[in-house]
Amino acid sequence: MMRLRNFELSSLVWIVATLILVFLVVAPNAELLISSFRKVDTGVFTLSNYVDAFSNERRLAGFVNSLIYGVGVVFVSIIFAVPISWAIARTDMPGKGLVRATILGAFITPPYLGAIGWILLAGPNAGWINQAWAAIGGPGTLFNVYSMQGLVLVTALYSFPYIFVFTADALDRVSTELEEAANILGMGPFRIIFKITLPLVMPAILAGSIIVFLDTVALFGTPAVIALPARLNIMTLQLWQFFEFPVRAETAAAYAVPLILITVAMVGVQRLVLGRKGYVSLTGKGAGRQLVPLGRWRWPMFGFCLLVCALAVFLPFAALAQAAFSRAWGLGFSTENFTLNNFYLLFSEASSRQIIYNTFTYSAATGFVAVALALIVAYVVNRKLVPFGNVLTALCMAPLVVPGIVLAIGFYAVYAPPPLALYGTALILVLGYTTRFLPIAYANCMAGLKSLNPEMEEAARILGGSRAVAVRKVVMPLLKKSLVGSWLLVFIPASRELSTAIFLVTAKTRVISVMILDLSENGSFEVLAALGFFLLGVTILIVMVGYRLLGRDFLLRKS
Amino acid sequence: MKMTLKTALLPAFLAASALVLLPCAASAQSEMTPHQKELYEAAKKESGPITWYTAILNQQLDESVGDAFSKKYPGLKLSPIKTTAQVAFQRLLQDLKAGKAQADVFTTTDVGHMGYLKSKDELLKYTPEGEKDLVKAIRNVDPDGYYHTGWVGLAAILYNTSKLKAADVPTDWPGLTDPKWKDQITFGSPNFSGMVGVWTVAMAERYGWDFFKKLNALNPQIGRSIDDAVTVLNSGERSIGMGNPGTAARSADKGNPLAIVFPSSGTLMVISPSAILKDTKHPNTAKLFLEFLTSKEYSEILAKNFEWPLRADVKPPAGGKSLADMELFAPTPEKIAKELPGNKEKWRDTFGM
Amino acid sequence: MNQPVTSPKADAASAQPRLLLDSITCVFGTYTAVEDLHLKIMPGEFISLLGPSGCGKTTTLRMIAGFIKPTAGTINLDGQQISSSVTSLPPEKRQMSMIFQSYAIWPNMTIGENVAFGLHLRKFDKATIAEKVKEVLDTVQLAHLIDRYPAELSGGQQQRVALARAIVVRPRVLLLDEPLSNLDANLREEMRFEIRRLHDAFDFTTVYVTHDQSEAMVTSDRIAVMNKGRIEQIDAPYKLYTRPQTRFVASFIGRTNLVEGTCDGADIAFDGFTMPRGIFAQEDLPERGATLLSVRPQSVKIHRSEPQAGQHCVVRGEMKQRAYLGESWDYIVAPANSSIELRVAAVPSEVFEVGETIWLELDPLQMIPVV
Repeated sequence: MMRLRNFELSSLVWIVATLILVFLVVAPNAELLISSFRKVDTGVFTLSNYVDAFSNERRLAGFVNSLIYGVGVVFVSIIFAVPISWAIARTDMPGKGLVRATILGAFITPPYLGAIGWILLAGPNAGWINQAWAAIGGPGTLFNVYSMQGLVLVTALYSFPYIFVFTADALDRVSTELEEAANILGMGPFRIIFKITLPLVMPAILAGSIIVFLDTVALFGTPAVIALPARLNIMTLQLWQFFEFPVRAETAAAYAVPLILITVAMVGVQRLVLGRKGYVSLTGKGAGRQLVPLGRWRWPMFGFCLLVCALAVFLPFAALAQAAFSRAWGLGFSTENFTLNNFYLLFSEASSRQIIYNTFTYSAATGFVAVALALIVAYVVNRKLVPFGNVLTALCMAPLVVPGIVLAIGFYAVYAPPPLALYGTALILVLGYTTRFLPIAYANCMAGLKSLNPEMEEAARILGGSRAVAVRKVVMPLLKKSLVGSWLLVFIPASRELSTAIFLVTAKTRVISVMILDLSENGSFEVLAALGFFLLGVTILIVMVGYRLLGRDFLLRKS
Repeated sequence: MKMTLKTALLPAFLAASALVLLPCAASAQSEMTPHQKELYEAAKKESGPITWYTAILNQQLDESVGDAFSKKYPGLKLSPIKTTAQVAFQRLLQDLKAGKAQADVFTTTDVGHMGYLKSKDELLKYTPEGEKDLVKAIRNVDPDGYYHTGWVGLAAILYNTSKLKAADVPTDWPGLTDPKWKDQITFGSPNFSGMVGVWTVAMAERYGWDFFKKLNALNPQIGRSIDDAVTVLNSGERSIGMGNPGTAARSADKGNPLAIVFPSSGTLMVISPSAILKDTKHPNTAKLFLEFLTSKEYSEILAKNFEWPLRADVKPPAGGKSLADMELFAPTPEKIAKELPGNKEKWRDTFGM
Repeated sequence: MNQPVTSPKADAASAQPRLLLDSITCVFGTYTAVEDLHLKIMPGEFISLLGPSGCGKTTTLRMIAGFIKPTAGTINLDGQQISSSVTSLPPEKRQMSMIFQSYAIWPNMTIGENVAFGLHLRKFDKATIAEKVKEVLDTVQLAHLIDRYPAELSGGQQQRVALARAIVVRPRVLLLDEPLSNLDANLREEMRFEIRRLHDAFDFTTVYVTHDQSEAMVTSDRIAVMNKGRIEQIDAPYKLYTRPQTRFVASFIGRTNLVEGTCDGADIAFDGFTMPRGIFAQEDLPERGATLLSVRPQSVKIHRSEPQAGQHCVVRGEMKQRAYLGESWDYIVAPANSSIELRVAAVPSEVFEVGETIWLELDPLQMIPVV
């Protein structure tokens, strides 16, 4: 009797949340792992799938290429990001606002859209850059986008913001006193950068690099539009090929397992790096900071930033704009070639209207489901209401190490067939997206909860409010910004997610990202560019709403 | 075919308007036969649009086919999903594996797909009445009547008129392997496009796989769809390639600098079959759509868009010959089904992708 | 709901205690925060839990509130069990209220809404709520800020809001967790008396957690001094100071000298001097063996010449160190031929020089044996 009276709903919530997490995270990945050891049809244990997956030279090359690709992108991203973040955080460089805004632009651009812009820019013969090069009499091709270099550059242009965010954040927190201490001992400002400042932010650079690496090797869209014509095999493309007729799902699973192991190892390294003492020591208030006067280097530094911005945003967007407003993009600029018809087509055709509607409703639903689940689990874990809270945390963060395309394969394998038979429903997409972006929502909700003094809630409890009342009346209103922020941070990537969608969409549940890929397949760059602009426009609108509600830095910050 | 930018402007404008207005432009409705009427009455009771996985034409044209279908049979709707043949087939297999049929009608450029589906008993047997009105060469592609010609794609040599003079362009297939086309040639991939797949079967049959090894030495740009060649040539990225003359003619009509050479030894004809999936929930609508693909209306849409009409009683596109009068060749469906899967693998070995 | 507060401490000892903590133990992992703690609190009583940080006082308070479940033992409220190792009545059903270290004023609600929160949950009608809120805000002198948001208030005002919010619901027990630690010194002193005034006005049974002994002494009827998870002593402030029972209590409450001695039946021998055992309060001292005595600096008198002994004990010694603190002198003196050093407090007018020979007068009744 007493026990019943004292029963807290939290235990029930815990059980339900765990079941949902098992459903979303454990089952698809376990199925993948198990099937990689299963003989097709008979189901007997075997290693032959692994042999099959890696004995072929081309598939092995795909694996190696992906690693080279990942490392290359990290390298180029660092070259872009570190000087820019230093210039913005620490110097009196002009035009910081413009540079920041442009980096945000690069951040919200779907990588495959940027890649298509770059095809228009740096196609070996017809790309604007190469045409300009030929026009001034340059020999050969200046830059061929259809190459490993092209793939690396184009990917780095849209992933360097990650390293920028991490590094700028760390630079903001390194006390200038550390630098002044070296200065007073006789070290010159240039040496201070390399001897004091950079070593201090190295862990942040490394942490950002690992995210970029993971993101790159899991990328599907950019390789699909660039590596395919370049005839480079890449792991994610190879995974896709396993699903061509005849479908070899078990081999695909075997091929994906090492990819997951690599990402797990990487995340482990990142944990190690962030856990190190050196990083903690630089947390502190960076009050009263002194900006480094760049003197005559002010404008060259700004020039460098502007170059990166141009490569990432201005040039490819200009190329896309030309296509979006053209009858035929090969015809170049002329008033006769100008048309709004590509945009008109997007909205006049029922199918593309449906696709646009799908995209935004699925993303919005994903935002709600992911944030609700993340909030519940983060709350239960943070308030230590249940044993094994760290298990729940691990489950919520696990999708971080699973590339979207692999997750989608697992989802397809488990939930497409009966009894759930979710294939063809919007639900399977929303659940897939939810799983994919759960770590973002979870990390944000957790950060919000951690910043909330538990006494706020206890005050409500002791005055007679149940936990539900306390959460509804106190926790939720106080976390309002945090929750809206989490929702946006899930909504934005969900609205352009390609690699998860590619296996889970069906005729009636297509989304913009898949339509863009299909359009690129047919070379319909005009409508594609229009669609891309529309997607970007909506994203920018949402980001602006986010700015109004949550402050300027809500996207470009570490979380 | 050669056009300058200036002369291209007016037709380009007209064509663009025509595309949008197509449903209205599709002329006189042919009468429904009693059989079609019967199907139509039954189809009206089937709720929702039918889904058409299609590897032919392009999304926009497929939509106008759907609109014309709705116009002829008010209340019925068609929802086309256009991808390359291999992607459409992959999605179809994925659907079937999940036990959830998404597509009601499937049209592919790789006839091998139909053989496979037929052998797995996934197709609904139905022969449209209109079959008898088709050009003779494309009638009864499946003696058992499971699938029927839904489109005829052609493969010819295409080139960019602002880069090449007509005189320099080869008149037959082997000319494409000339070393002077190094870094100049483009085509699609059999791993995506069924049309390109059939092309590999035909070329390998005539000239041996060596033909492709020679092509590889030219560092070709390889797209996915057969229509990628048109995009690449338009942009000036490459100057010569293999592609679909229908797409090329539409594009040239928009003002792009494209021209077509029909190879002297014969233009490759790819019969692209359509079939109804057995699990369809809209069998009557689907049957009616197969009827529609044999109709005059459909062939007229094709002809207006520089495609080759399937019926002898519809005039070929402006300036073109009818299918019956052209120098054509086509590998048999059996040969395609037998050789194409191996060719895809060989292709990867030769070209790396 | 609105529990009538039964009449205060005047009740006989046999009366039902408001709160009874019986053998409470609380273990976190391998760390024992509270160990076998007993505490009985009568209705209307004001009890402080006093101790250094980590002594388990906050844990004890949170067990009373129901935020933590005890590992062993039970807690009874008015004779009804509310906590045990098996189950625990959730905080919202305990009809208590609490004032937190951070005040925990909800920034998303106005002052009025904050105060009305508990009343809404108790389902009072609107008019009653408005009336009660107004009344309590008047009591804490914040009526004019009723529609403000907490961010616009000073720390002291927020503290008063927390007080008002806690007392407006007439709790069966009022819990305070270091409520003054975030205030500046002046305000802190003012609020001590305010809290005691409110207690006297409403007669709430109150449990007050603090590490500040003067806070506890100003506010409390009784103080429970806690150390390492246990209650060392629980007594009224005066008794706690004058009759500490343990070495910890003696040195934690005020300052003291701890002097070791050995009883041999007739005398107690210290290093360098002896005192007859008879002049001590007998029951506190062991018959034989070592003992430890707490000698408050104020209980020792310093003389220039040897005084009359009387009931006290006089020992010759030397002035070792001195410091002038303004309100008093702080002397360190050493009895002759002894390693003992005693700290002695003297009024400013009693001036001695370092090195001077002096006489110490020790009052055996103010030398308290501690364990």
